[in-house]
Amino acid sequence: MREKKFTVCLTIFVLLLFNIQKLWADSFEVKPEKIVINFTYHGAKLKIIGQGNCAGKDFIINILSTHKEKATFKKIEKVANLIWMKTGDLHFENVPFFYHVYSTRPLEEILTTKDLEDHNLTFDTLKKEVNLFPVKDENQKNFLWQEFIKYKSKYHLYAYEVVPYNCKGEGQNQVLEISIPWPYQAPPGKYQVKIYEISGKKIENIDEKIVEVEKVGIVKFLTDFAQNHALIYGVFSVLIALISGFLVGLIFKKGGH
Amino acid sequence: MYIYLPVALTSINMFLPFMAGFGVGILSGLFGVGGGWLMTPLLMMMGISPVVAAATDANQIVAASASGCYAHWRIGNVDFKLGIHLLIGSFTGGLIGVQLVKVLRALGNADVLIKISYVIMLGIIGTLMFIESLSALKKKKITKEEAPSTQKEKKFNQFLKNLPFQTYYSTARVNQSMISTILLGLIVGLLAAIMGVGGGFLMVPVMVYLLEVPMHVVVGTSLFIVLFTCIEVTILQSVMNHAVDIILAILLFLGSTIGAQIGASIGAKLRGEQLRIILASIILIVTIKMILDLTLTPSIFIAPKGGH
Repeated sequence: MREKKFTVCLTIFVLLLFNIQKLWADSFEVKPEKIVINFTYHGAKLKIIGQGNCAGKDFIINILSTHKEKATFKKIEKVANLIWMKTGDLHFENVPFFYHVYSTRPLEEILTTKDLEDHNLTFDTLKKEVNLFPVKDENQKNFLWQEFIKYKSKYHLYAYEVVPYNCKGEGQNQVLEISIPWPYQAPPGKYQVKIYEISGKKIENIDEKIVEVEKVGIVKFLTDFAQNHALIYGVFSVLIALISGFLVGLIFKKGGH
Repeated sequence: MYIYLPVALTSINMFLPFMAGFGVGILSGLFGVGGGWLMTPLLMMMGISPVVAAATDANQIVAASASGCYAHWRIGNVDFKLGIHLLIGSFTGGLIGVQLVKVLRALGNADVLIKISYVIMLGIIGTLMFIESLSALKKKKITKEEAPSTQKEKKFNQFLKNLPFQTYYSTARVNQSMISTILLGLIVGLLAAIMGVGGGFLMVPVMVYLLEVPMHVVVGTSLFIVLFTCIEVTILQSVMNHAVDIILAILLFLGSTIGAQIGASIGAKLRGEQLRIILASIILIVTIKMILDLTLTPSIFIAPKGGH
């Protein structure tokens, strides 16, 4: 009987704990859930909004593309001790095409190294999941991975940044707002947005949302045209170029040049 | 104003490609070169990937060379017969060159040799052209536009001229053997394919010094050749890599078609040796840039596969 009571109490406690945990989780909101790429698109702003006690807490937002990439690069090495050349192929498998981490304070001040590693929140920990080949040894793998990060960062596809946050109101009615720049380099697709709520170097809650980036209108039409009707698209591109060239020629002729 | 490029998958200030197109278009109209050596790195600086930059540049060159070719045709500077013969040669050379690259790569370290040979060759062409044009300018040979040449060159030129299948290129006003024209086109096409370049820098000196075509006709005829080469490249890039961005290309050729017209009218006001010395200077600048690219330590030690 005692054991039964204990089990019931434990179940209620766990359920209660789960609901408290979910209190934040359910109230996090990501706006917009769909980012539309039109002709004048130049990136967007992503807002993370939450309700609850946010004072004195820290937040980490990890955005990564759901699509894992298989990328082939060329190594740049000094050949014959003379010139820098693109040499052999280098394959990166199982890497997210897009990987951004935002935090309200520097990561190492918010979480322990173990937690950062367990949750894949640094570029170094991400490396463990990546299949990189061919490499001679671990040193070369580390070096090439750093170069990969540099390349991705150059095109704003990988980034780490400390962002400010707004926590307004009192007690449980506080409103949290974090604004994140969404780079225009992020291609269409689905993105997983993971929000970590942290207090005293402990993760209190993790929430996941999906943001979809989609092409619309003329941008979508032209992409589909280029992909699905490549030959007609190529001929069309040539015709437009030829017409433009001759048209400008005619205009200049009329202009008396 | 920013616009989104559907194939390049990036947003760009539309003013930038327009200005880049305008600048490269002037060079194209002036010298009859495609300008890929300048445009592709410029596009990469704007955040366009190397594959899309190279493919879209080819599409842009179609418009610029059509515009420039039309402008030169109006003033009687395009020798279509000569252009077609050189095209036959360079297309065949291109096909052989692509196969040859595969063989060379299989032998190992071919890329290094190819790169070094290209730099040396450009350097020699640029220097010789510069010296010759400078001495021509000094001597003020302005009465007749003729490409001066040394005794050795004259002997070689005579040999080329004496080959069978003689034909008269009326616009260029030169008698040449059809075999030598097609053969030289083939060599340029072969070298261009091996070195992965458009070939304008090689075709212009070949026409000036070996076929003895007047500089103004060289520019017009070279544009005619570049036009057809880039039509082929644009269609191939569309089909094989899906890498031609039509919006970016339109922005580029809005500038380059106008630039090519201006380049052609500036060129008409310059003498042959003046044009040659400016082109020689540009070839030398490109050579120096290539040497720096090859010798300076890069900022990132990996690069995406594809592109130039």
